[in-house]
Amino acid sequence: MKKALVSVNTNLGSSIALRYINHIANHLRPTLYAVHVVEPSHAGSEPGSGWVQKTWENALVETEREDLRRFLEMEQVALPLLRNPKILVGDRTEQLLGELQDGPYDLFLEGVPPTSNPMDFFALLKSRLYRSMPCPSLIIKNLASSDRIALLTGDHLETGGLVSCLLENIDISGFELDIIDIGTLDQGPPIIKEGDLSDPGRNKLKSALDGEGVTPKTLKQIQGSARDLTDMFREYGLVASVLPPNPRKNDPFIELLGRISSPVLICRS
Amino acid sequence: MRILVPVDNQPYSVQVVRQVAALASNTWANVTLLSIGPEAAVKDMAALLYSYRAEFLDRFSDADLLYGARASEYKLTEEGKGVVTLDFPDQPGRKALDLRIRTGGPGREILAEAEEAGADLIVIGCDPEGGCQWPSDDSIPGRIVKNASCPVLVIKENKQPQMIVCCLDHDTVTQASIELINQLVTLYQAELEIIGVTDESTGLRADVDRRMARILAYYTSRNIKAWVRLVDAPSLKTFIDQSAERNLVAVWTGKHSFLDKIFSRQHIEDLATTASSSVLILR
Repeated sequence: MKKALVSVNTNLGSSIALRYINHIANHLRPTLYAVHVVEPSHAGSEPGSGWVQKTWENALVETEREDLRRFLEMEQVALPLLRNPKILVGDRTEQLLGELQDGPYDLFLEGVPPTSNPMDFFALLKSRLYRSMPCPSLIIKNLASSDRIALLTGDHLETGGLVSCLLENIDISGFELDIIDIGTLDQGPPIIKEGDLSDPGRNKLKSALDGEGVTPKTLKQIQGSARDLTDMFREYGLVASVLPPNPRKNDPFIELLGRISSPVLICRS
Repeated sequence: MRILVPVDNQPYSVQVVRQVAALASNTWANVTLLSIGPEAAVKDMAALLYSYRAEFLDRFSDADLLYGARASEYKLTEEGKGVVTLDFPDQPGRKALDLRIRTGGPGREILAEAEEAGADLIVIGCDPEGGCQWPSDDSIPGRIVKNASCPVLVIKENKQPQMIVCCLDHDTVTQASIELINQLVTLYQAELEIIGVTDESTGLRADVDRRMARILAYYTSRNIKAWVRLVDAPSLKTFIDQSAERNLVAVWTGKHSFLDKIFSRQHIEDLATTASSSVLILR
């Protein structure tokens, strides 16, 4: 039985994530478990040590547990396992990584509202949590309710595991699947062309999908500036991709991923 | 809700009247079409307003008589110094579609009419080419945006915006403003992007975070496709200027608004006049 860990908090990101999960619950293959990390360091300076500190932390946990209970009630979370999150105390990154490894979990989900600065997404990917992530992650940026999925491919991407990663985590029945072939991302005007799906040599993803008995609806070949191409991804409820081997700050593909407003499934190459 | 629509004889005014008619068919708002010019041109202005009335009523069937019948006769009535109304005594509608003429300077008269009528929204058109000018007085739209005390929608294009980017100060934005955006989203069948302004050091404030979640829930419960995006305060002006190149931008600048500190009145005026797309200034 596959397991997915959802990081929840009482904020906008979690609100979006929970509603999105509610929307696609029937399509998520893993069983979902929720976790909330209480970070004492964020609640001000810790008083004393030993029993005093422990009592203070317990009070903090109880307060946050109650806040979280009210939040989840307000969000009308339907899935029982998400209504009772595991509460961990300590540094968020360390606690989440530990939990993901102990689970072990097959997918990590969290709500991260997009920002106007695509470099923030690069910073997220370069964070210790994401660098050390032992499983794919679904970064839920917005409540996108479309039933279309985009699979990103391109000459610079090792997309070998992308199709299996998607199909292991998402039941795609009822979804339309488009392959988006990313060409040169430069400052030129946006060019979006319909590609030929019947060309066997053209696309690695197409043959992987064929192997799974999945027929994509279209193949789109795109090029241009990341900023101008972003809007086309709003029609997708999910964008699935792998990362380039060594993502760089000024990589236009990372900029594109950062600018995309829809949820992004990051798979391992 | 009362919508004030200053018009002149340019093609953009026809577009504005059509779009206001569509908005009125959803909201059943009371509408005032206002023409401003010299005293000697009152009859010409009356004829112009009458033609815009027909344009407006084309949106409605004669059967429901919501705003009166198309074929009505009017008479000119002087209401006060420099103010003339076109009265349709035979076919009053259930909602007001007032046609009014004011003589004097357009900027001053539009603002005076908005105050006297208690307008909830001013909708004004302009041609985006040439800096959003009115031939009769080139700085009219900018001056209205800068000085009106109610929301102002500057319409610049025939095409419907696909996205409304709304920059709301989530602490103080009024329910009326949230609902007005709802109306525009419905009118244009557009998607919505809700901008949350973050602080460099603290990120998104907890109260703003919660308010945004509620606003998002409000829109999504109405089947509006709403997106969120966070923008840090120093980048906000640039972000809004770039967004205004292709989307309808709505900015809340009401009293006690945090955004009022970021956007000076001059910047709001510049935004409204230089943006390629339509702009809604909320107050």
